[in-house]
Amino acid sequence: MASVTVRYRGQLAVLTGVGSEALNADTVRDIIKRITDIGGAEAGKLAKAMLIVVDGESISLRKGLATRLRDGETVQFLPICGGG
Amino acid sequence: MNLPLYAKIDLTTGKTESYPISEAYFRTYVGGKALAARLLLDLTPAGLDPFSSESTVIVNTGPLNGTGAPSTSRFNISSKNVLTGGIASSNCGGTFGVMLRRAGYEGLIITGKAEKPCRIDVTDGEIALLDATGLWGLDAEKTQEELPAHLGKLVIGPGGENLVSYAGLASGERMAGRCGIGAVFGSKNIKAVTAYGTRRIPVEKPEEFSRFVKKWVRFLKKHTMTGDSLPHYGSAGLVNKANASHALPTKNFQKGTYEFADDVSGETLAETRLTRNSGCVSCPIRCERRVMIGDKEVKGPEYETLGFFGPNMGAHDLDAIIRLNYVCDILGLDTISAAATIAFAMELNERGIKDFGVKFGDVSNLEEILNRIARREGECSELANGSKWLSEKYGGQDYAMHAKGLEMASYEPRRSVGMGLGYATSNRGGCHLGGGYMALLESVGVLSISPQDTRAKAEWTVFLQDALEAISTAGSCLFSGQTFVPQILFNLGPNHPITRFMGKAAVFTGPVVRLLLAMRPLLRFNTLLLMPHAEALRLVTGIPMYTGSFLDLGDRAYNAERLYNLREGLTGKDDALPRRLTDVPQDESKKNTVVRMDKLLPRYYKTRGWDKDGKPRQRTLKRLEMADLWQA
Ligand code: SF4
Repeated sequence: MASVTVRYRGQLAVLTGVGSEALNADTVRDIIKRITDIGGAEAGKLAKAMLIVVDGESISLRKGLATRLRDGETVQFLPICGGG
Repeated sequence: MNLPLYAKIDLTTGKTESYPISEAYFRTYVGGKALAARLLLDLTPAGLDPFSSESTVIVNTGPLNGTGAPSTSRFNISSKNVLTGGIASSNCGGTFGVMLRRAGYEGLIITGKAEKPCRIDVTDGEIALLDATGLWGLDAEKTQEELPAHLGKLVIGPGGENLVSYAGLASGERMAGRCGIGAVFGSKNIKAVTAYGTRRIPVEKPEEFSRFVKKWVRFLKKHTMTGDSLPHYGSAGLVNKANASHALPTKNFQKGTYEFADDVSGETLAETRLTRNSGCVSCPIRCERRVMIGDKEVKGPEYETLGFFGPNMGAHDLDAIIRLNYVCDILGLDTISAAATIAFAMELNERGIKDFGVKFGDVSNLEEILNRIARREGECSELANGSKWLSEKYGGQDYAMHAKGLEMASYEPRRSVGMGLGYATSNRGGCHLGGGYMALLESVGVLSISPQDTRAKAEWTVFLQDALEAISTAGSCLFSGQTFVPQILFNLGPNHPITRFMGKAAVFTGPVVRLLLAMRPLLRFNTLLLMPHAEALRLVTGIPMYTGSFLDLGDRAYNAERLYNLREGLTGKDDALPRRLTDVPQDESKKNTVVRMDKLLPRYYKTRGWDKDGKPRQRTLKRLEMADLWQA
């Protein structure tokens, strides 16, 4: 398992009760599972629908929720935004 | 049918006269930028210097302005573009537009040059030219403070007075920043235009309209984009998204990601600096950020300003950006062009070509530089001419990041190639909104239509450009159009297999979009889900406006502005991007991280019904009821 830093932004920070934490996980999906465990189903659902960024790169440019994590990486959960 | 009434004001002679808009023009061009482009074609000869006394500036509204429909305080200003030599149009959310309509006019057509600084005042149908010598030299904020509080105001700051090529106009704290129209005002000695009136703004079907508005507001509030994300983060929320998609211009577009992007992100702004959100008149979205400078609450920076005074300068000082945003606003400078020009100068310095006293990573002296630009002092007078001018003098055309002369916005098109096509084809120059804003569907939104793939991008760009033109022409804020991205995608989120599949499959939708565009005469329905603005226009004006004819309106606006550009000597060759974007991969290991204009542009022209040189075909103009404007 990789040890990573996870940052929660927006409403997810409220639901999980923490802004950031250190976790061990193999993939992004593992982190979502952990969020569901600590914040409940609502938090898990919200986390899945957020923009997830691993070391500055959107997981949509990697393997989505199956993206594998490496030691020392930062995983951010960001609200979807718009504008222009 | 209530037809728009414009006023024609000749500042040289002091003469003012009513200029009623004909029913034919109202039905065809409706208002805003579409009608303004047509009037500029009609009323001005080709080849005018934008600063000549004969040049004309039009300040006008759309039929929805001031009706109470959501997000409809946005008014338009069009003239010849100082930076590109083509069409200029800029949009503003201050109170002026609504007040102008209440004062009895839908638009002002201003020509000539006043002998001394003047204020044009429109009060309950009466137009007066007043001496504004005492206001000349004041910044945009003080100018407005000096004027009576009840007036709707549109003013310039020192930037406009000193003919900075990217000077804008202010109405309250909202800016019409782009294209240098503030300098056109300055060249005519107009310091301010003010309006006040008590007229009720006409609505053809008031009861139906008021029911529809209630439904529309509910819809906006329920949608993630307009009911949640924009109110909470404003456009500032895009910094982290663009960065995560490698689409955040960094160091004058040398790269698309920045290590410290989060320091200047919308999330950080919201968590550490935001006092509250606010908004333009009649807007339930309220995307505006409010922040403190000392003990004064001011408008906070939007995405473009955060990106351009931050990562694009290799810097991440959020407080400095807040301050520089405010400084640009009161000096009456467009934050995008000002910051992009400085970033280009930083690269000239980095390469040892020319030192204007600015360097990447250091924004500590920029307040002083901006003040000197606005007053055209010393060498900063050259920075006041924009990046195209600088590159023609000092070299660096390959990395002067403009299209047609207007600096591009804060989306790195090598990771959003449809956005690249949009920048290149946008009539006013490198504008993301005039360009169709494909970045929202490619790199910064919930859906990601393969950002490097050129397929379907031309078709979507045409569709979105037309939709945005029509929304703007109606008098609505473009952000209100973001509800066309289905809510279901936000519920699923960007990582859901369905969303990901839709992004991948969308590259095959080119023929579908073309078919949709071809079927416009059959799209005689309106729905909240696509473009609610069409229904609102129908109820307000009595014009039979449906989804199809609404898209036609945008198409017409696009072609009218295009014809203005062609008349002024721009050609298909100007639908181009700097070589940094077309020839140099953003990521050396991924050769496809360039914008393939050779693939995108021919398809775009074809979809638009233009010939291979980018000229509208006669049959295209005939279809749009503009055949009289055809140029052989
Ligand atoms: S969405 Fe923002 S810019 Fe648009 S009208 Fe509302 S407050 Fe103004």
